[in-house]
This record gives sequence, structure tokens and C-alpha cells, in this order.
Amino acid sequence: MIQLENIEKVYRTDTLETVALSGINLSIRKGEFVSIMGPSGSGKSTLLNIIGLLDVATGGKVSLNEKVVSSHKDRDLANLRNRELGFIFQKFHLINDLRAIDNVEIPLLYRNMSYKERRKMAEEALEKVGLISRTSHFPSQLSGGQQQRVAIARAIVGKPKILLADEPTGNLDSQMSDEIMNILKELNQQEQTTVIMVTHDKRMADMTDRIIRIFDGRQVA
Amino acid sequence: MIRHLLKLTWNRKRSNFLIMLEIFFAFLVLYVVTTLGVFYVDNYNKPLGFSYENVWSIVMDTQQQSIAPQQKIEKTQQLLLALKSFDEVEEVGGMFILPFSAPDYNNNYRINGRKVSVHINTVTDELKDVLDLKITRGRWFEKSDEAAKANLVVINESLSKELFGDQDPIGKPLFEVGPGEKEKIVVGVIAEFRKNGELAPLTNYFFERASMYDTVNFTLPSQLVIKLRPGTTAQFEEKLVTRLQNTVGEWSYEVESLAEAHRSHLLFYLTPLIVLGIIAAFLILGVSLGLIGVIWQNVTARANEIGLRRAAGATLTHIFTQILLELLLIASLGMLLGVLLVMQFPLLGIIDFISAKVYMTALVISVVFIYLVAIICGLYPSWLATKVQPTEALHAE
Repeated sequence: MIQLENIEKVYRTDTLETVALSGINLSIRKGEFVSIMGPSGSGKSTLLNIIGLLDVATGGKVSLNEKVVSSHKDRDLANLRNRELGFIFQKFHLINDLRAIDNVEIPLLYRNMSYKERRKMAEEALEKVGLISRTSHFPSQLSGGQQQRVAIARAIVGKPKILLADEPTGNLDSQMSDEIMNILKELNQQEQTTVIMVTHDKRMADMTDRIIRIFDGRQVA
Repeated sequence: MIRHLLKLTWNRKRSNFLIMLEIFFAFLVLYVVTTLGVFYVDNYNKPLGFSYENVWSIVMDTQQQSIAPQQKIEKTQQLLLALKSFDEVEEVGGMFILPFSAPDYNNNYRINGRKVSVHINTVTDELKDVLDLKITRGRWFEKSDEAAKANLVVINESLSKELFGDQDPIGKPLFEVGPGEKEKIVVGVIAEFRKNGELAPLTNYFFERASMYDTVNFTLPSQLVIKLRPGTTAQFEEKLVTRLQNTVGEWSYEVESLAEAHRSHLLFYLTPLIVLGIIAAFLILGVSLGLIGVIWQNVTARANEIGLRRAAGATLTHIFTQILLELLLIASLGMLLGVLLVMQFPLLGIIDFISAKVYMTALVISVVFIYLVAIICGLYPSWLATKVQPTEALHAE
């Protein structure tokens, strides 16, 4: 489903060249739950951003559904992010001035959909994460765990085939972390959604099918 | 998308309150300026009704508290003869209220239950030729009118339409008069007479005939207007005043060209527009800077949101449009109360001489102008928003 070939990411300034990723070859199958581990600054998030088409590799090829996408234009990449990918972040990134349901419907705004359809799908997504009773709440009226569940609802509202989670439990206590992991596992098992999760937490990583380890920008396992 | 952005803008109304307030006041002042401007342009496009080129006015001051009518008539006749003896003078007329002068005489008449405001002037037979008035129906005053029993009047088309509609007013009494009062009979209609110039609104106007020999009602005007031959220079003024003083030395004379009076009068009308225009320009400048500031700050403070939207599938065009649309929505909310407020003006007829057409044209111009300012202010911040890197924005603290 996702194929990375010899991925390289180098940040260049006039005087300095920093290698963030080098020689990454990776293949992730449909329905896999993969975690990416590694110390801070090892390149985990950069790798996730390249997989998520938010960042462009300086070398190598990224393929999605057996099509090379690394050379696509902004409009096509945006469309792929919108249809195929869902993102979950450590800091939730909810818009504080919007109610939960309005936050959830954001990805659907970039599709040709009526307001009614959007609302229906957003409600379904909130129901999946157990927050149907909180649709009209603003993020500030929700706990950290609830906010992350809203963020998951936003990530899955468009029914993407791949979920990319960047330390989704990093800001949560262990109980809430478990709740979030259970939701991700459910999505993975029941809906065959491919999940790629960056984490520092070994306990969380052990709950996934496969662990990819990154060290100094290189894949070590 | 608009609905989503409207919610977002509405929910952020507190943080946008000051700029909305600023837009509200700027809109109001701009609307006043635009209304005045549109009103002037609308008036300017209507006919003035007379010609003031090569026409001078002479204000005669008798320098005496009282003067016997017969004596005034004699002296005025001497002056008229003196003026007509100049080769430079084509025609001499008299009138009570000069074009482009501050004084005005108007009366409100109740006709068929309606209040009709009418401006009145008393003029001599020669005025038509001096000011080149255009007769559209009937005739102008003539010497034989001296013997008329009724008061003869010439009205303008506005008054004719107001009082007689599509009917021919010639030979009809202007108003019903009380017992013992002389009837005012319409003998002619002129196209227009806009005494206050091109920028003033159309008014109902009628001229009464001034008799050079009327010692009873004493309608002899104390202001003369002279039509000069083309090419007469300003040096003629000295020659003219000298001749007048030599003729009736105990009176004083003030001579002014109507073209000069026209210029002064235009300034009188344009000054409030210029002052308000400057105030509006400063307010718009303030609004522009405010809008740029708000949006710039928005783009910086909302980098996370922009990054998130990019991750959720927004293209660069989506981001650019969103920032610009938000700006237009802020401007719309700022103007909303102002629009509701100014819509009351034509509905309630607060200023009756300004037509609903002028109000609505000014409203459209003001709204479009504020939107244009908003778009211009938003272009750069919107472009900046497209430069936000989602990877950096989503990892920033």
C-alpha cells in the first residue's frame, strides 16, 4: 500500500547540510498497524510527514497504492491527503473557536459535499469515538482525552485508508492513552484501516503489529 | 465553506470586535461622503437653466435708511440709461435675489393637503435675455404686463410638474388665494432655474414680475445684472463703477462677475465634501492598517490551523481564499449594522431632498469600496498564509 524507496531528506543552508533521513526503504501493507520508534531528533516525524505527503523527500520515491506520488503537484497531493490519509497529532490541533462537530467536518470542506452530508458524516465519526453527546462542545470544554478523540473523529471522518498518528498519546495519561490506542486498534481491525504511529512509548509500540526503529535518520529495524 | 467560515468569524467576534467597530465607523463616514458625492454628481447632470458667462451683478446700496419710491425709481432709471449707453453692455436686468448668492426666499404652501416648498424671486422683463433663460411653454414677462390685473408669474418645470402634473399650467392660477389677495397667474414655464448652481438640488421656483414703475408695492429690484459683450475684460469694472458713481453719486456699488460668484459658491458646496473626504480617507487608512494587522496576526497565530487544514486536504488556493474570505466576512459583519442603519434614511425620508436612488447608489459604492479595501489589504497576508509550511506549523509550540 505504501512503498518508500531509498528515501533521503537533507536540510540545506548556505553553510550547513543536515541529513534528517537517509536510505529509508519501507513497505507497509494494507491493514497493518505499524509504529515508528526512535529517540528525539532521529527523524521519525520527518518520515511520517513524507509518508503523509506533507513534506517532500530530497531523494527517493514515495508510492501510494502502487503509484509514485512524490512528483505530484500541490493540488494532487492535497487531494490524496484529503481522500486517502487521516492525521492525528500529539497536540490535537483542534480549532478552539469551533465546536467539536465543526472541527470534525474540516476535511469534508475540501470535498464537494452538502452541509447535510457533512454533518451526517461528522456525527457518525463522533459516534465512533464515543463523543456523540459532545458535538456542540468547544475544545476548551473537553478533557485532553476527549479532545484527542475529537481529533481522531476528524482524521477518520473522510473514511481514509491510512491513519498517520504522530505521538497521539504523548499528551495523555496512561488511562486516556489506552482509550486512544483501543480506538486506533478498533479502526485497524474492524475497518482494515492502515495505521502508522510515531511513538516514544514502548508499551504503546508493543500493541502494534510491527515496530520500525529509526536512529540518526537511518532505519535500524 | 462560507458557512464554516461565517461560524469561525462569528465565534471570533470578540477578538475582531475593535476592527469591526473601526469598519463600522469608517463605513458610516464613507457613506456620508459617498452620498454627498453621488448627490452632487446627480445634481450636476441636471440642467442649470441659465447662463452666467459674461454676466456681472451690481449690488446697489442707497446708503439711506429710507428713500422715497419715486426717487428710487428715477435714480434707477438714470443708472439703467447710463449702463445701456456702454458699448460693452448688451442687456441690463434686475432681480431681488442674485444667482449664486447666499440669500434665498422660499415659502411653504399647502396645496391639496400637501406641503409644497417654493422658491421665489422678483425679476424684470430683461432678465430672460441677460441670463439666457429657456422658455419651454408660454412666454416670458413683457412690457404690456404692466397693465395686468393679476400677478403674473413664470414657473420652472419642477413646479409645473409638482402642481399641475401633465396639464398645461399656462393661464392657470398658481395657488388659491385668500379674499382681497391678487391671483398669481402662470404665463410661462422655463426649463429650470437653479439659483444655487449645479451642485444644489432641483427646487420649485417661480418668478414674479418686477415693475420699474410700481410705487405702490415697490417691487423695483436693488440688484442689477448686466450681460456683457464677449471679450469684455475685467478692466471694464473700473469704468463701469466710475460711470455709476458719476450718475448717482450718493449710492455705492459692488460689482462682481457671476462666474466668480459661481466659483465661490461651488467651493461652499465642495468644502464639506472635501473635509469629510479627508476624514474618511484617514479612517479608511486606519481600517486598512487594522485589517492588515489583524490578518497578519491571524496568519501568524493560526499557523497550526493552516497546517492542519493543509494536512486535511486544503490546497494553496483553498488557504489563500479562506484568509481573504474571512477578511471579507469581518468587513461584512463590521458593515452590517451600518447598512441596516443607513437603509433607514430612504425608508424614513430623513433628508427629503436626497432621493432613494442617490441613497442606494451611495450604499452600493460604499459597500463595494470597503470590500475592495479589504481585498487589497488581504492579498499579501493571504499569500503569506500559503507560505506556511504544514510540517513546521504542526510541530510549533
